Amino acid sequence: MIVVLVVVAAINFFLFQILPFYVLHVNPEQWFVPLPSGSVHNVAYIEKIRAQVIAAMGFNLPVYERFFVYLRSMFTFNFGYNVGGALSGPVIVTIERFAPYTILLLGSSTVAAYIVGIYLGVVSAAKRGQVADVASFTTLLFLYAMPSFWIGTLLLIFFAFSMKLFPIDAEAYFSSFHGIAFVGALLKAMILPFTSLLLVSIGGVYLIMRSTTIDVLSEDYIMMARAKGLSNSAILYKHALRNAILPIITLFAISMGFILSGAVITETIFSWPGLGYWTFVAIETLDFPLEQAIFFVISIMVVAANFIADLLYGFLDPRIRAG
Amino acid sequence: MSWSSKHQGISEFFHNKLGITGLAIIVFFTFTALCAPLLTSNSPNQIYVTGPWAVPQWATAFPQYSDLPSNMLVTSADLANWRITTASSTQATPQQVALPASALNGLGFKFDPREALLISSAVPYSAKTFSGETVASLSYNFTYEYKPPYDFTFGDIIYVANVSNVADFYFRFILSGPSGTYKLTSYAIMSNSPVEVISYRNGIPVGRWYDISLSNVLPDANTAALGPSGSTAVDSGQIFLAKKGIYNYTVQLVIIPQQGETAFVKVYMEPAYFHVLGRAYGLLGSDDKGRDLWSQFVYGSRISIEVGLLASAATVIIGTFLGLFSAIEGGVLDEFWMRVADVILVLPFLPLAIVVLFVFTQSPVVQKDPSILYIWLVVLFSVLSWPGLARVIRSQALSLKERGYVEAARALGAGKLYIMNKHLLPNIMGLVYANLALSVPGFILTEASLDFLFPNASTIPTWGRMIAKAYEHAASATAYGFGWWWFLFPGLAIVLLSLAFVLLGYALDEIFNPRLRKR
Repeated sequence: MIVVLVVVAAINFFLFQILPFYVLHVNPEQWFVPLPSGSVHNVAYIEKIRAQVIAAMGFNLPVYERFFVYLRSMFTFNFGYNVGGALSGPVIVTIERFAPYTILLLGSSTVAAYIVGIYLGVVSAAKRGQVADVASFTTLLFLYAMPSFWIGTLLLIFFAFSMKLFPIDAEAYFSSFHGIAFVGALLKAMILPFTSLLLVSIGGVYLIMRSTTIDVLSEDYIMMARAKGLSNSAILYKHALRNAILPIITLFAISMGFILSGAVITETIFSWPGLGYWTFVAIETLDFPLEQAIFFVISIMVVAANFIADLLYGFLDPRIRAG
Repeated sequence: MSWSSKHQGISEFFHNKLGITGLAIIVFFTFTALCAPLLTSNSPNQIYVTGPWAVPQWATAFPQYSDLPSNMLVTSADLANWRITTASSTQATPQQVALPASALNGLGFKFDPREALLISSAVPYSAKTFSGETVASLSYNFTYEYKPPYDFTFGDIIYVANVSNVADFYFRFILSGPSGTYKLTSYAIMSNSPVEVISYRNGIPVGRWYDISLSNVLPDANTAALGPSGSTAVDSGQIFLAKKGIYNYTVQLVIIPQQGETAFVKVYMEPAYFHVLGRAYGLLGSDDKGRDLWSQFVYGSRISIEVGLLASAATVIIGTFLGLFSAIEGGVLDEFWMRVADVILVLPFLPLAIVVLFVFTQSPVVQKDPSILYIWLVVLFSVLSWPGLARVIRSQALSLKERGYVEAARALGAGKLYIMNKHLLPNIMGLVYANLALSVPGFILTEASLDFLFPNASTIPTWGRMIAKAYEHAASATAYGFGWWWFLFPGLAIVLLSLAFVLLGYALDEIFNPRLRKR
């Protein structure tokens, strides 16, 4: 696990400390500590300060030494400072400030998508081939194939631009409120991105749930239960669901890991100020320290989530615990 | 897989309705991608093929669009349909002339006049002619029965045969009708910068064709020479052709003699034209600059299909090979590749793609040739996506490896490569085919998303870029209404194509996975 994290951190280092400058032919120290432009009176003094800043940021070190400095600071959550003008201050503060928005939006929509998806999937599998199954299968397959930016912009154009029911710019809208009104405004601004994410992610859950339930329903022990004369709902919810839900729970844990990476597209479209939105803004404003930190935090979350998923799977499935 | 089971699989596939539907959609879009140049004659980035914000032609069946104009060329090659008036100093006679092909290059449409009016005029200087005398005018009546257009182009083709003692001479374009009389512009021949110099008389190159093509929108070199009161207002078609009715389009030749001299001018004038840029066009209408959206749509299918198929093929090849290889080899190499897979699975796909795409779009190599970008995307997609498949293949191969027939083969001295090729690969081919189809939608959607996020990364038309541009304008240009035809169809195409691959993948899965079959 630690090895994976270190390798991911190394890739991160390559992505943000080497690749951009290599491709764009810029010196990193020139980027991070630019020379002041225009008429400068005390050139010698400014050069001296600049050299000090570059030394403090470690840009005068060779790449491999920079890598170790980088590793140490990453694992002590010392992510440096925002550059690029969109944000200022320590990166860790930025992340602490904006992560809650992402967790709120993604957390609620993911949970909702899983609940609805699991329910529809089980019902669909139980009624396989009937009208209800065909209808929900077609609809959700359609949703599954929809690009998230298309759903998002469609919702925004209809409900915000033309019907004016919801704000176009979420952040600008709710940040003008305070106290209890802020919570209300936040929730109102969240409706469209929430719906958009729900529609996008529900399809995948549904399809997997449906196919695993169909799988489980063809098992011998279900036939046994049926032969015992159990009711259909008892078979479905007491016997089939317990097994069919296992892969979904693992998936859920893993998707919880990716929660911080946010929905870059949905958050950008609705100007929802989560980490996904900032991932996009940071790259547009070349705020590499922020981008690097976001990537690193996401990786930690994902590794942790995978670990939890493994534990959970073992806990839920006695066959694995025994084996 | 033996021949008979393969045959059975194919016949089974043809009984799977959803699979066939998917295949049909894929075939359709592959066809549009391959035959793009045959399906549309317009280049996707050619501006003002028609008017801006043109609805699709078929949309005129709906009442709210029923009287939108299509592209409409108002002219008559036959001079008999024109009313010709001349001053007393002037003679005008119709003549047959051969027009060089080069004279028609600038026009965006086919316009082939055969007859020209030969105007020879001698205008003595006087107080009246100090500001110019209209020596000849051609006017043409036409009926306009539509809603006003946004834009239009107009002009004439003339041949200057002889000029002397002229202070200036120009063409004046006038449109009059129920909406009022408007001087569109005055086009001064003398201030037109000569392109090819044949011989000068009085400072004007003579013996050459002048293509006066003007418009209220085109960034034409000629607009620099717009006359003193030419209107260049945006969407001036809305004013000039505001009402339905009979309009009169007039071109006047105006001569200003030099002080104290008598000016002689001899020019050939073709019948002038007035071209209404339509508000209903083609199969999918046009965008904010009058580009053909059907053409963008057709060319856009190329990128989607290309990126989707190539990335998925590369993913499946890498994933299958590394999965099989790890399963057979075991030991350190197995461990190594599976740890690599672990690392890649931890990386957030879309943010990483955004970063790499952004960095590449900034690089000079890609800026020179933006099509490289999509090749890099394919590489990136396949590098990031093989681990999922490799894991599945590996676990499948590990269980197959322990089967009796594989052990028997090994006991007979079969090599690893032989076993991989002859015994393992055929058994996992179903999984591979299904994955090949099922991984395509993800790539298509991601590619479209990236184009949506970076619409200005290149000018290559793609579905994602079309949606991004449509959305951009939905947010800003409300005066034109929401361009639903611009926004909806690329989105529907993405959905359909992704859906098609999902259906195909499911059909293959059902054929190769007997457990999934209906009882």
